[in-house]
Amino acid sequence: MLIMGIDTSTEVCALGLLKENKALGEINIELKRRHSERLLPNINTLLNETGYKLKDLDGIAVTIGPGSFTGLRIGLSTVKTFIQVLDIPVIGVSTLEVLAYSLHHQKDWIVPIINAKSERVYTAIFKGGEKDMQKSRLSEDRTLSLDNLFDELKEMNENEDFFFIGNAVEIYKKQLINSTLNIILAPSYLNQTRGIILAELGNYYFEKGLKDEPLDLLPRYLKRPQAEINWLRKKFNRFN
Amino acid sequence: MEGVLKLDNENKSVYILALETSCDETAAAISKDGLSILANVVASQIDWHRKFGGVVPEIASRKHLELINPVIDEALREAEINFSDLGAVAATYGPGLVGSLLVGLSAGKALAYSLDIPFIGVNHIVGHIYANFISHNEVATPVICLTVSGGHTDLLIFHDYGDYEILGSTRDDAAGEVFDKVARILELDYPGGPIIEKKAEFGDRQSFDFPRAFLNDDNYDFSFSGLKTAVINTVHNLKQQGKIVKVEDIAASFQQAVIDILIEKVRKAVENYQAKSVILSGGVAANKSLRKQVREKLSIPLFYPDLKLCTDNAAMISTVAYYKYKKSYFSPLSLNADPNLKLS
Repeated sequence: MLIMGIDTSTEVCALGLLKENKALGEINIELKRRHSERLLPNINTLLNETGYKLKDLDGIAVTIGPGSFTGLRIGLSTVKTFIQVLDIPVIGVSTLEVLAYSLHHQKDWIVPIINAKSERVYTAIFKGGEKDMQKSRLSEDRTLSLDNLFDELKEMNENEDFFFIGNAVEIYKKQLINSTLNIILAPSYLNQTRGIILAELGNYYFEKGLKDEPLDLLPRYLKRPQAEINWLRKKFNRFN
Repeated sequence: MEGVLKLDNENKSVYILALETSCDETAAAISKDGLSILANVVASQIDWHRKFGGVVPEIASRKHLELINPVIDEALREAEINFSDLGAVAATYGPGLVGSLLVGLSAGKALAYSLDIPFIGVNHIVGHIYANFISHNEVATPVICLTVSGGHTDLLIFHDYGDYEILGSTRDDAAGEVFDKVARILELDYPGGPIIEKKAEFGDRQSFDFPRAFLNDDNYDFSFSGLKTAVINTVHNLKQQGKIVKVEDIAASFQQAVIDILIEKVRKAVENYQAKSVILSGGVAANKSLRKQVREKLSIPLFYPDLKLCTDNAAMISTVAYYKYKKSYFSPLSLNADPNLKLS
């Protein structure tokens, strides 16, 4: 099984190629807003350098968010179209699962946080020690303020250790360190998604027989478009 | 060993699949040798934007991602060909809404890469111009081309395929955009173009004297924001004074102001450049009063595309792509969307 992982949900373009559970190579580059320019050339480089062609792939794992709306659409439009031509299995993976997966080998709680702007983070809570991130998940992917997240963790179990990981760790470092919770910061090199981890997690799901219907594969935005929020407010006086 | 070295695709037909997602239509089309359109699929998102009275960029981008692959499938089915028959893939890369453009562009590049065939990025405005050549393949040059839509108001002179220059553009709102906004003020449906045209039929176009900007200026640029403000103020004033707002009269007077502005610039360009014909393109080109009055005012042939080629579509993109393909003007896979792409 030759599996490619493709992630453009944050400022990092993360690509990984895995063959029979062995990492062949990966490209992880912080691109800011240049995913559209760099995604295909980087995929091409990764394939060329490892000696494969796109049509050799047996499956693709792609992140479906949370993350940058535009980034997600570039990745998904590209992957869904690959799938349409190649007719191979595809699986959509939560960006938060990809982050948490790099700590799944240890037993502490894992709390990935991705910057959602407006003082909020995209987050979910995972229990370490389990390879299947859908099983180890304690909550859905959500958008929360850091304070609300802290409150939830306190209610859960005040005395256990929580591993924080993700691109929002750097932004909220002070609050994390000053919190009364037992927060451990993941090594900073783990704070960004990595292509090979996505490829491996995708491969694990494929081996379990999971896959997605390509047409149903859409971003998990976790937020309505602003115009719709305004419209609903006006119409139903809701969401205040 | 003896043999014959021959380039075998000299007379082979070229099938080009094109994608267009610059605004709120998700479109795919397939052309054979440029002018023969085998499939022209347009999934309109109007229903999703109507309640907002205009296109909401984030909603448009989301819908494009849902619709793009089904639309590609439908185009192949309509044309009765397979992916392997394609010679190239094209996509609009600007101008337009950046989030929307990126969906079609990413899909187009991914198609070309996975099929290992050339990719061709196309300018949306050039597409609207070429839409005319699908309907009429003999147009006397030089030709003056007016493109009016929700996103553009451009006046061009066209000498030959690929040989054109822009004479003027709008300095603020696009004409079609103003139709939408005026429709909103008059509490009419979205999109504004067709409904205002309908209301205008029953109104008096001389009942309100709305401003016509740059009408006598020595340039080919347009400005519609003053006109828009004048209509908004008029409606507000009437309401404040407790008077009845005659929607038909306002629609007719407003539409006439737009038409006067457009026609005067076209007339001036035709005269100065000794043009032999005129082309109207873009969604507003579907306006029958505009067509009728242009025909009355000018003594040279007037062309406009079939209705389904007037509004945004991918057939016109595949036609432009064919002429680029013939000259091997291929785009790199690093091509990015350019929301403000200009005509070069």
